[in-house]
Amino acid sequence: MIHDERFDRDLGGMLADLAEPRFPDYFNEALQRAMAHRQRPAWTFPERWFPMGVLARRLPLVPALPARMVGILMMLMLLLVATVVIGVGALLLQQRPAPQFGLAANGDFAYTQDGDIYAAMHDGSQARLVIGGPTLDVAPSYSRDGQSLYFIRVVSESPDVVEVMVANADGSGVRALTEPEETSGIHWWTISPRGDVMAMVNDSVSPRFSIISLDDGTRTALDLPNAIQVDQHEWLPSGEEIVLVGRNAAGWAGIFAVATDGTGLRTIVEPQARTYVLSFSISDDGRHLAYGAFHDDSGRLGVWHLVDLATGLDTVQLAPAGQHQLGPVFSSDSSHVAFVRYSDERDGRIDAQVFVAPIDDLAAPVAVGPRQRIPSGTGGLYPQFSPDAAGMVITSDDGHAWLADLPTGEYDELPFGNETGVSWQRRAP
Amino acid sequence: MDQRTLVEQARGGDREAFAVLARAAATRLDAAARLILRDREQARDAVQEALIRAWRDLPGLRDPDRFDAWLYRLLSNAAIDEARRRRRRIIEVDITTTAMAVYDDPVVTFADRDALDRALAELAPEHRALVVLHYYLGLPLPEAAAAMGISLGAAKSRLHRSISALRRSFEVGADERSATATAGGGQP
Repeated sequence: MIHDERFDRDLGGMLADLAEPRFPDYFNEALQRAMAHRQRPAWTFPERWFPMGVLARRLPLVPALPARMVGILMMLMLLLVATVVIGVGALLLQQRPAPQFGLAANGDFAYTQDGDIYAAMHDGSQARLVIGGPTLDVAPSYSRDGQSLYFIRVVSESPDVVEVMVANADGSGVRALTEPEETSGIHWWTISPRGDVMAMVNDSVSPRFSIISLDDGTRTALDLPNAIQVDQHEWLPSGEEIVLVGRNAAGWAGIFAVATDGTGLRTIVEPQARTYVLSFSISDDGRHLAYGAFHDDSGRLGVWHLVDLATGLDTVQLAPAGQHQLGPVFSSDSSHVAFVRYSDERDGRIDAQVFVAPIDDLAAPVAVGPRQRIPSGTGGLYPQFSPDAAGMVITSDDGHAWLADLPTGEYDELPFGNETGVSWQRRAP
Repeated sequence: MDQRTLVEQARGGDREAFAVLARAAATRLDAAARLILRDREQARDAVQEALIRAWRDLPGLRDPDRFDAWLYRLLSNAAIDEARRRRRRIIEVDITTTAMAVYDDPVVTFADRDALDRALAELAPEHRALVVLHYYLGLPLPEAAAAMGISLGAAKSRLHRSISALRRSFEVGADERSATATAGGGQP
């Protein structure tokens, strides 16, 4: 009889002998096939490239109908007139572009379901199809003025080829912004605040980083000095510079800014050895940048940093002992920051919880939304402030979305999922 | 260059860095997939799928030091998906027995390997995956449980049942071999 302990002890070796580990002869082919796919792109991190804001007012209330009526006929006529006036007024209100930065009123949510794009009221009700049909359309993202809806149309999944599309916010006027061949291998893309230019990191072309005019399709490759390789990027509110995470020739990651013609590269965060820069966010007022990072010298704990863009002062925001905190995003009035704290790591899982704190008092953040226990090391929660600052939508990697009310702390799960991110439309106040 | 730097570079779209990471793991991925699926072609498909998911989802890896555990999770999920697809299609597959090595350990014999092979075959793919994650790939049981998406309690229970079944198969095999050896020993 084989002794239990010896069996357990020997089982690993017996399995190894049984499997006869050897380098697979199909490896090179498998690797090529794997890398023919697009890396997990921007739209799976919607909060990174489409930060929304906090604080302010609710949607304007619909004006009350006249209180006095003279007769049945007059009442009906007035009702008819009032209805027309309100309808036209609401339409005009919707058609007014929202300010590109700062506070705005809450508009609709856009989200993906089964390859189509839907919009719903900001409380999750009145869901309606916006972009449908046989095409596979994902990753909706409203423009900063709330007038347009960007999304990705998947032309081919193997190899991954997509088109960046745009439509009016109501789903009409769909058109392609890029040719499919331009976006084979797309890694990261952003639209300029004015909506006239796209910045793109594309693994299939060299140099990988380029600027594409949305007026005439002209592509300008940006070959940055010092062999800087661009990863993710975002526009400064001025629209004159792009902030990017880049790696130098030694593979060290830092944060830089560069003019849209590729000149004037300047360093915001010096590249550091053994530092793993995760997402970053820029405040709508252009004064601050926040980024999450792992540093080996911090005991492998994730921390986020607040950088004053005027002075360059970089302040690390440490979590309580043994906890990570990452994924900082700013409110639209630039007064608050939300981040995710990860704690109680054991049994291969870890707790994730969103916190919110004022920029000028980061010491006492307040928990918002659900506490989720997730697998260690991957995924997490993604907070996104509402345009009016009174709320927050929190999405998770496993497809859930919650709507939180910041003043009360109450939250509910939204009736739609989070297949490829949720975008919250900004509207004119 | 250390693994963390490679992970960061691969996360930023560096194909060469990803190739280095994948190459370093390829042998164990392939062996683990063959143990779970017991079919070379399906194992190949599972490794292929795991590599695709790894490259595609690498930017979502929050902690670069967990790359190996994360990759093993992707592999076990891909292997289980592959096994489920096979069940759904109700295809009778030709189970290709893993090639036998020349085995010179006097304790764990060729026959033991055969017994282990047959015992593994009787486990469900999900159970085999847990055994492989824990005993072959060396994931601590809590991490193996997380990789499988089951609770630690369920993993302990599942592993206990699996190991008991493997041990029983071994004991039966050992008894049969003993009987065969005894009978054979009487021949001239």
